[in-house]
Amino acid sequence: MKRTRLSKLFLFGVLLALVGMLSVSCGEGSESSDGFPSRPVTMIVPWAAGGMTDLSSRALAAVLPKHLGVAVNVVNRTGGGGVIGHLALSQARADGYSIGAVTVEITMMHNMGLTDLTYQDYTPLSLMVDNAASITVRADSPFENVQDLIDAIKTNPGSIQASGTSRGGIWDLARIGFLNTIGMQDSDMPWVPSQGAAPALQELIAGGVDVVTASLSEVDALRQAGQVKVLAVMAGERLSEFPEVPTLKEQGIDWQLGGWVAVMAPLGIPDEHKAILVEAIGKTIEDPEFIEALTQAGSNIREIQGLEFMTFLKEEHDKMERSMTLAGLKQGQ
Amino acid sequence: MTDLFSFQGIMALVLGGFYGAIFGAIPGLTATLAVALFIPIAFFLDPGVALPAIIAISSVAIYAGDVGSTVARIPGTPASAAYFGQLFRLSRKEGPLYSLGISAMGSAVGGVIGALLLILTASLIVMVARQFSSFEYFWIAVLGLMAGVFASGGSALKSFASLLLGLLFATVGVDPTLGFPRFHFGSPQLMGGLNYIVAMIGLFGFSEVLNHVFKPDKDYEAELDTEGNARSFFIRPLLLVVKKKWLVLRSSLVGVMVGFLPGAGADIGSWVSSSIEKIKNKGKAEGEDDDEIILAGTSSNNAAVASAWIPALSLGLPGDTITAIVLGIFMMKGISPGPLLFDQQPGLITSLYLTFIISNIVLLPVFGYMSALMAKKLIKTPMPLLLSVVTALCIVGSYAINNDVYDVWIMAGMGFLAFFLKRGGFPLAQVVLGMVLGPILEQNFMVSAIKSRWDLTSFFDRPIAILLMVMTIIIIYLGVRYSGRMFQKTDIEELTED
Amino acid sequence: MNKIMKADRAFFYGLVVLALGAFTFYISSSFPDLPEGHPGPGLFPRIIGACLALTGLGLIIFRKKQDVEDHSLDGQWLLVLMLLGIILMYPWLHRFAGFLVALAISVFGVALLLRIIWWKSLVIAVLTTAAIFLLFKQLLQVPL
Repeated sequence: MKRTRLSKLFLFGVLLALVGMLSVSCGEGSESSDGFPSRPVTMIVPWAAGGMTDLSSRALAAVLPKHLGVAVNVVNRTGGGGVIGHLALSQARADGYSIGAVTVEITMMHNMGLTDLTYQDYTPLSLMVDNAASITVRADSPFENVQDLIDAIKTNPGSIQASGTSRGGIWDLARIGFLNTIGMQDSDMPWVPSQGAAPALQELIAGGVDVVTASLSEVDALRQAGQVKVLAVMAGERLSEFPEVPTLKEQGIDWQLGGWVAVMAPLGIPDEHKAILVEAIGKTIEDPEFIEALTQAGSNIREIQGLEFMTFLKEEHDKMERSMTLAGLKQGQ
Repeated sequence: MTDLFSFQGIMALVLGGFYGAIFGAIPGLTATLAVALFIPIAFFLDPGVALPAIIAISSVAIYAGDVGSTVARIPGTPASAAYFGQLFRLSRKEGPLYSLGISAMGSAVGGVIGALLLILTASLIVMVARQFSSFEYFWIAVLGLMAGVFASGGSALKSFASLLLGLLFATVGVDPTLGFPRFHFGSPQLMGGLNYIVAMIGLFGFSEVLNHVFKPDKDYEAELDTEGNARSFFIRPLLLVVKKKWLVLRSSLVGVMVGFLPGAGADIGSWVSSSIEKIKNKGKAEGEDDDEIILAGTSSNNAAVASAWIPALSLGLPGDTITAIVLGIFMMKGISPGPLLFDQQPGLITSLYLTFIISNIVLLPVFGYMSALMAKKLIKTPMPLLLSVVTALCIVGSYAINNDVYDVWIMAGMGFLAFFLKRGGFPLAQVVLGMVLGPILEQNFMVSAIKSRWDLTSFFDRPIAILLMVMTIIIIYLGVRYSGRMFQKTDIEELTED
Repeated sequence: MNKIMKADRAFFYGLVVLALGAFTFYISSSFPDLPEGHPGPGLFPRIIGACLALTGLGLIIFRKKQDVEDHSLDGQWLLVLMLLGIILMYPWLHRFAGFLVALAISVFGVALLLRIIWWKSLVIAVLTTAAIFLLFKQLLQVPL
C-alpha cells in the first residue's frame, strides 16, 4: 500500500521535472520584433474597478484597438495603496505588450516608504487625465472666495478642518501645498482622513468638516445640485468644462495639483514599439469616442507626450518631495 | 443591469439551485463553501445575475443539508446538525420522502417569512441609517463584534480569539486612514493587505481538502431506498406545516433574529429553534416529537439565510459568511452597500427580494424533490474526486480575484490555519467577521476621533450612538448570562466541527 | 500520560494565542504616533495584541480537562505537508509553465494525495483544467 503511494508520488515528481525543463527551454526566444503588435496588449490598472483610474483606462482600452490594431485587455492589480499594480507594471516583460496606468501616487509612494519605485522605473508614453484639486465649501458657508478662507485660517489657526481622502493622500497634499504657499502650517487647517471623496463630501454637507479638496470633477454633482460651492480649482488655467470656476493662480496663489493618470510601459521596451504605442495612444486620446467616454466619467483629458512629459514628471516628483517633507510625511532621512 | 426574468437570470436561478442542492447534500461541503467557490464566477457576471444565483445556491444548499442526514445519518451542512438524529429516525419510520418533505416545506415557509421580514425591515433600517455618521458606524461595528463573540454557540473565549485573529489580519497592509504600512514584513503583496474573500476560500474550502488528506472520512453507506411518492413529499408535510403554524412562525422568527446577528447565521438559528422545541417537549417519549423538532430547525435555518441579508444590504455589514462574500462582490463591482444602494440600484434590490421569494417558493420544492429522489446517488459521489475539483476551484478563485498568483499562498495559509482552528474548537466564521468588521471599526474610530480632536466624549453625544451602545451592553449581558447555559446541553462544539 | 497530553493541547493553543498577542503588541509599539502625541496607526494593533494575549491567558487558565479520547491531531502529517508543498509551488509553476499546465499538474498531485489511482487522477486533472479553462477564460473572459 505504502509502496504504491510512493511510486505515484515519484511519478508526479518526474512529471514536474519534465515540465520544468520544457518550460525553461522554450520560455524565452521565439519572439519576432517585426510586425508589432501581433497579439493582444495587456493594460495593468493599479486601482479597483469602477474608480476614476479604472474608468479612464477602460475607455482607453476600448478605443485603442482602433488605432493599434490589436485588442487591449484591462487587468486590475489593486491593493497596497497602488503599490501592487505599479510594481506589477514595472516588473512586466518589456516587450511593448504590457502597458499600464501609472497615477500621481507614483510621485508619493516612495516618499512614504511604501516602495522604491519612482517614475524613472517606467517608459513614459503619454499623460491622459489630469483632474485638478478644488477648494470646496458648503453652499451656506461664509466664505465667498479663497481670500475669505485664508483670512479665517490666519485669524484662527486650526479651527477650520479639511477632508477628501486618507492622510497623505493626493487631496491631503493639495491642502498641504496650498497652506504652504500661503505661508501657513500643516496644523493650521487640520486634515480629517476619510475613505474617499464621497464620504468626505457627506461629512462636508453634514457639517463635520469645513473644506474639501477633492477634484473638481468629484465635487461637480453636488455643485450642480447647489449643495456646495467651489472657491477655486488648483489648475494652471480654467478648465474648459468648468469655465466659471476660478483658478487659485488668478486669486494670487501659485499652487497647482491634480490627480493625473498616465500610460506607461516597463523600462527598456524597444524604441520602435514605443513609437508605435505613443502614436496610437495619442490618436486615441484625441478620438471623439474616448473624449465622450471620459467626459461622461467626469475626467479632464490632458495629453502630454515626449520630452515635455518627462519635464512634467520631474516637476511633479520634486513638488511632491518638497510638500511631503514639509508635512512630515516623508519617511526616513 | 441584467433583468431577473431574462434568459440569463432564469438560468442563474436554476443552475444555482442545482449547484446548491449538490453541495448541500454532500457532507463536508457547506453552503458557505458552495458560495465561496462560486466567487470567481460571480465576479465576472453582472451583479443582477450573480446575486440571485447566490441566493438560490444558499437557500437550496441549507435545505439540501438534510438530504445527507436522511440518507446516511451525516448532516450535509452544519445548519442541519441540530436535528439530524430526529430526521434520520423519522425517515426510517415514515420514509425519506416524507421526512425530506417536512424539511423542504418547513424551509420554504421559513425562507419566505425571512424574506418578507427582510423586505420590510431593510428599508426601515435604511431610513435610520441615512442619519449615520462615523460615530454610529463605529458603534454598529462594536455591536456586531460583540454579537459575534456570543453568537458562535461554543466557547465565548474561543470565538473571541477567532474574532481577534480576524481583526489582526485586517490590520495587515497600508492603513487606509493614515497611510502607514503595517505588518508587511517587507513584502509588497502583504502591503496590499489580506483580501478576506481569498481568506474565506482557504478557510472554508482548502481546509476541507487538508482535512481529508490528513484523515479520510469513513466511507458512508447509503442505507435507504428513496421510496415514497410526490404526495408524501408535498401534501402531507404541508398539512403538518398548517397544523403547526405557530411553531413554524415562532421558529422562523427566532431564525430571523439569529440570522440578523453578525457571525451567527443559519447554523446557530437551527440550533436555537430546535433546542427550544426539545426543551418544551421534554416529557414526551423519544421519537414522538421528531417532526416538530425537524420543522423548527429547518424553518429557522432558512429564515436565517434571508435575514442575514438585512444588515448586509442596509448597513454594509455581513450577517453571516455568505453575505460577507456578497459584500465582497459589491465592492469589486464598485457598488457600495448601505443606504446609498437603495437610491442608486433600486432595480437590484427589487430583484434580490424577488429572488428570495422565487427561491423559496419554486426552487426549494422542485430541487428538494429532485434531490430527494437523487439523494442516494448524490451522496455516493466519491469525496476525493470532489475535493480534487474543489482544490482547482480554490486555486483559480483566489488567483482570479486580484490576478495575483501569490494570493494562492494566502489561501493555502488560511486553509492550514483553519485546519488547526477546527481541531482546537475555534469557530471560523468569526475570523471572517473580524476581517470584515475590523476596517470599519478602525476607520470610523480614527475619523471620529480626529474629527472631534480626540474629545472621546463625542462618541456618547448622539442619540443613535447611545442607543447602539446600550444595545451592545445588553448583548454582552445576555451573552454572558445565557450563552453557556443554552448550549451546554446540546454540545454544539463537537457537532458543528464536521 | 494520555490525560496530560490532552490537557497540553489546550495549553498549547492558549500559548500560541498568547505569543501571537505579545508579538503583535511588540511590533506595533514601534508604529509612529500622530502629531501632538495622539495615538496613530499603532493604536488598534496594540489593542488587538493586548486582547489576544489576555485571551491566550484565559484559554490556558480555563482549559477544560477532556475525558474523551482525543485523536484530532493524529493523521497523515506527511501528506498534509506535501499538499501544502504543491500549493507553495503553484505560483512558480504558473509563472514558468503558464496557467493550464500549472493547474493540471497541481490537481494531478492533489488527486494523488487524496488517494486516487494515478490514471484516474490524470483524467481528473485534465478534465478539471479543461472545464475551468472553458468556463472562466472562454465563457467569462477571466484573465488567467
